[in-house]
Amino acid sequence: MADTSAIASMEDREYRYRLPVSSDKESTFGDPYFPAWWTQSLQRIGLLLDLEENWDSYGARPIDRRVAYNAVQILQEIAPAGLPVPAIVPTANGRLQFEWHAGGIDLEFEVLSAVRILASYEDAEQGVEWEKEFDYDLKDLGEVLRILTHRVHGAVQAA
Amino acid sequence: MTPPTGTPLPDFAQPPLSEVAISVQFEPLPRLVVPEIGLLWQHYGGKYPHVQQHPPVDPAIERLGVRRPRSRRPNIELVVETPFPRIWFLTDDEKELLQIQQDRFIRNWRKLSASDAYPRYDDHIRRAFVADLRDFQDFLDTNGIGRLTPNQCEITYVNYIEPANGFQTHAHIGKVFSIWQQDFADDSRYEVENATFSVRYLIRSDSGDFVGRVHASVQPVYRGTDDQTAFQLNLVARGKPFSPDLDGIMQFVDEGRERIVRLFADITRPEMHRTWGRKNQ
Amino acid sequence: MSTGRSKLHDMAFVAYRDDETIAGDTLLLRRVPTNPAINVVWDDNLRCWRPSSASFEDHENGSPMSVVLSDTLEQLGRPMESALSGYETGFSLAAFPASLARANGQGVARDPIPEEPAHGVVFGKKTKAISRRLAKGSRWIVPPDLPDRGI
Repeated sequence: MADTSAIASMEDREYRYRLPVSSDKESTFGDPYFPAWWTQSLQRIGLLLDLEENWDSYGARPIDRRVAYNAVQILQEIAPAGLPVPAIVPTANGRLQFEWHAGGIDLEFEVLSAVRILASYEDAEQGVEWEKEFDYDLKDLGEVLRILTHRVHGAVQAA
Repeated sequence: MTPPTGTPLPDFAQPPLSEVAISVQFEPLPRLVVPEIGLLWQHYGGKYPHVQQHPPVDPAIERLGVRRPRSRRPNIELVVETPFPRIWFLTDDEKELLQIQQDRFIRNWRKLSASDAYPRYDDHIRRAFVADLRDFQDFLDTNGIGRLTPNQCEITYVNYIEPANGFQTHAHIGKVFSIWQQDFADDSRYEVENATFSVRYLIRSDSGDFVGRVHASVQPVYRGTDDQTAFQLNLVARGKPFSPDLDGIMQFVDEGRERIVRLFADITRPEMHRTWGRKNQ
Repeated sequence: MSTGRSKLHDMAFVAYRDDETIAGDTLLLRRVPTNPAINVVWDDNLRCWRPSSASFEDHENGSPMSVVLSDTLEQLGRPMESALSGYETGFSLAAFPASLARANGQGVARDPIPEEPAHGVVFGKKTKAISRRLAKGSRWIVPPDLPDRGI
């Protein structure tokens, strides 16, 4: 497989990304290398990384770049295929929060560090609600992302 | 955490090791910057007289629930400011080194010449790592840089397996590794040129909780000096410290090392073990 | 009602008490950066743009959430939009009733400051679920200029 690299410029920020691309089409099946949420999310995060001190008028901190990197890495690892594009918001403490509000589900998770994620989940349809901190075992978080994805896609197909 | 079996650890007189590294990742220390690295080098004095600068290594955290391993997803690099480098501090003979960056501490032993003998985990590797990590924490404390909050530990064994016992070309992978069926390699319908494989095993605590992984990967290689055929077998145990302190780090490292040694013996053939001088069967 | 402790502007610890003179229907006003759309999310369940829960959190240093009290604005003869004074560009104004805060285990107290005589605080531990309930229970006083994503 040949490596190709490309540089994408967004505003004044450069994001360098490298992906393995097969020089020959070996198969028509396979994971998409660029899921739909990924490109939009990178653009959004680029915007948020430009926020300055007190961006919320209440003394909020700029976004910690390392935490932003960890947040993207974590979501990449657990995102199911077809994950709806998340809303990404900054928190006053300089972190990123991913949010989804669709299909009767409210799911939010904030990446506090490489090994601390605070997540909140409400499923009005199933009457389930929890809030917990994750460290290394993200199975349950991945599971609710899968539930959300199926719920949203099911609604789209029905419409 | 109970060891995989109760039997003694496999022991080899001449294991095909070319490098052993122990690493700990921790919450970033933003105050560990260039002037402090200079002070650290002064602190080391003659112990590590040589210094090199390298790009930093990305964090690597073992998580459960991962759908897509790192090799199968786009690699993102935030080019915002000059990243703080990874600094190598090398002994005079350059066989041992520390690698330090704002979120990682690594100690390596490497075989640079054929006559270099593996200095042994219990006799030297472990002891040297503990001493240098303690010393590093003391330095951080003395200079107000911060405390180490470890979040991941890692031990790596790099093996360079040279031809022996019928292994002459990369097609003979089945003569080296027991998990490769010899019958398939010998089947004349398939002219194997070379092969590569990788396997990941989960590490769990006694109570079944996720701790980390052991990664085994085999690559066909050629020695740079004379193009000699060989296989490179990398064995990496990576996971969370048992507790956020030196004891917790070493509990994982000891556990990881034991799993690596047993796995090495299990996935390589007994015929190769004779070449490496296995002492206990 | 619960009390809260917090660092104030001069780093002095202050114990807050829920102020019963703040009626349940008093609106608590909160600025939300929305231009660009920083802390506003499309809630497809509610079919509307609303503040993110991240707009309704305490500060990491322990300071409780700042708000502007509508009853004090009324006494001062100021419109609610005046809570955006100095932040007219890039911000919208959301409001939720004091009763919603108290129903979620929060206390509400007056905390006038020189820059804002109508300043108050909402104190108490805020889980993400609580912050989200405050966000979902809020309404726009000065809405963001964002396209409707409803069909």
